Amino acid sequence: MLIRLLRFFRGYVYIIFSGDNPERMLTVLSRSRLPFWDIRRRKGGISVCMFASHFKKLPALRKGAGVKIHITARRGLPFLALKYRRRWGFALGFGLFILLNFAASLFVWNISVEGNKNVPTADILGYLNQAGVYEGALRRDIDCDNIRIMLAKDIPNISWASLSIEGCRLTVSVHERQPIDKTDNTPCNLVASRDGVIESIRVLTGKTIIKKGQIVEKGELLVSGALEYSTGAAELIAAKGEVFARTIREICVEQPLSYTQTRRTGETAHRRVFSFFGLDIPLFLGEIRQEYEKVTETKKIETEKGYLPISVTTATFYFTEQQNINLSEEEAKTAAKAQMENLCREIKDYEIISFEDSFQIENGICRMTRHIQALENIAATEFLEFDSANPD
Amino acid sequence: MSDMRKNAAEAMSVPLAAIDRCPKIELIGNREAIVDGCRGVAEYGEGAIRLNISGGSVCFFGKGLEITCLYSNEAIIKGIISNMEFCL
Repeated sequence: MLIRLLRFFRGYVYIIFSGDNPERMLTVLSRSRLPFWDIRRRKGGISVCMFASHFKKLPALRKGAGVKIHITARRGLPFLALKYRRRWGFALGFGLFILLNFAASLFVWNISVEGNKNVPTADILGYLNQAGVYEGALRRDIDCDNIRIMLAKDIPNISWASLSIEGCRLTVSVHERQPIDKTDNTPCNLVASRDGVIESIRVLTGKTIIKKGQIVEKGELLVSGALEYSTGAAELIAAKGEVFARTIREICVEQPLSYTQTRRTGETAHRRVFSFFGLDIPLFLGEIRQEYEKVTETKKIETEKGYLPISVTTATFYFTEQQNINLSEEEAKTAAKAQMENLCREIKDYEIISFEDSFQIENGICRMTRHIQALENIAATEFLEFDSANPD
Repeated sequence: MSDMRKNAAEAMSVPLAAIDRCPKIELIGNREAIVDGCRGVAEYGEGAIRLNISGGSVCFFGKGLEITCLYSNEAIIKGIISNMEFCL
């Protein structure tokens, strides 16, 4: 393969020796140490291939051999260049291609983040963008060592980061901090998170201080993690359990009687932008003057190793208008009730036993208050703090 | 081959081929022949190739014969060799 490439670049010719004794020419050629190949018997003589630059030496060699030499074909780059010497545009285009290829390789065109589960990729990319690392940034301007230290330092929950550039692709690997789980066996008490009346107690570990039906205040001790034994020994453990109590809660929603609502008219418009290696080319004319809600969608070309820096972003504009809404008191109450029901449907922390609604209309606002009697687990963990000066 | 060379080889206990100037022909099946000590091509045809060697010539007969490589003193012949003849 390499030899073929070398022959192509140097250029070679097919020549035929014709006459009474063309074999003699072969002998002369072999002794001349000029490289030749593809020796074949053809009609009219013997054909060989040799480099174009060596062909000039043949006339001197063939003296006395009594053969005629003809070139039957010319192959290789020198002959191609001669044939297309007027096609300077082709050479220019080829040169431009090499130049652009080289220039494009100086930039980072793809950034990928891996290793993050809780820290959003957008946060990391946003931070990198501020640090001068983005798609289209010069590779030599990216100080990987410095940026990875700053990334781990400035973004909470990231304990370690590394940046590596392979070709035009930058890979950011991060390691998130593992939260220390203090709840396992760290000595703690259970205290009341809210005021309430104790309904049921289920203690797994610890000493129960309260009893059913007792009224407790917020912060009051429910289950103690400090155990004293009859032998006089004491032990600190992690108190665990559930203490359900009836509590009183209040949820408030407001519904204005007059307000302005944004409504879509039904008309839409589309605008596309073609992004090519960091260059944004708008594929539209004119601007949008009406009020709108915009939804964008970006389509990128994906390969096995990631995305290419070529994409089309389509922005869909939904035209909107402002609508003045005036509600009567009854309508406002109904709307407030609907809001309240939606809110209560989301509640998962406690169970609503009963509730009572009240309405107040003042200054154009309908205020609905729901007084809730709830049943919930009010046991909250309070870690025991030690005084190192007085360990007793 | 001269007697002096033969005696020298025997005296030094070296193989005769090491100091002899005879051409060496290596046959690989009947498909390839490497001739070392060739002095040129006397005849080149598809059915017969004759090479000059010291003391005469060697002729290869067969089908589809061609010289794939030719140096100043070495030639490689490929094809279906049916017969080989020394002409002294």
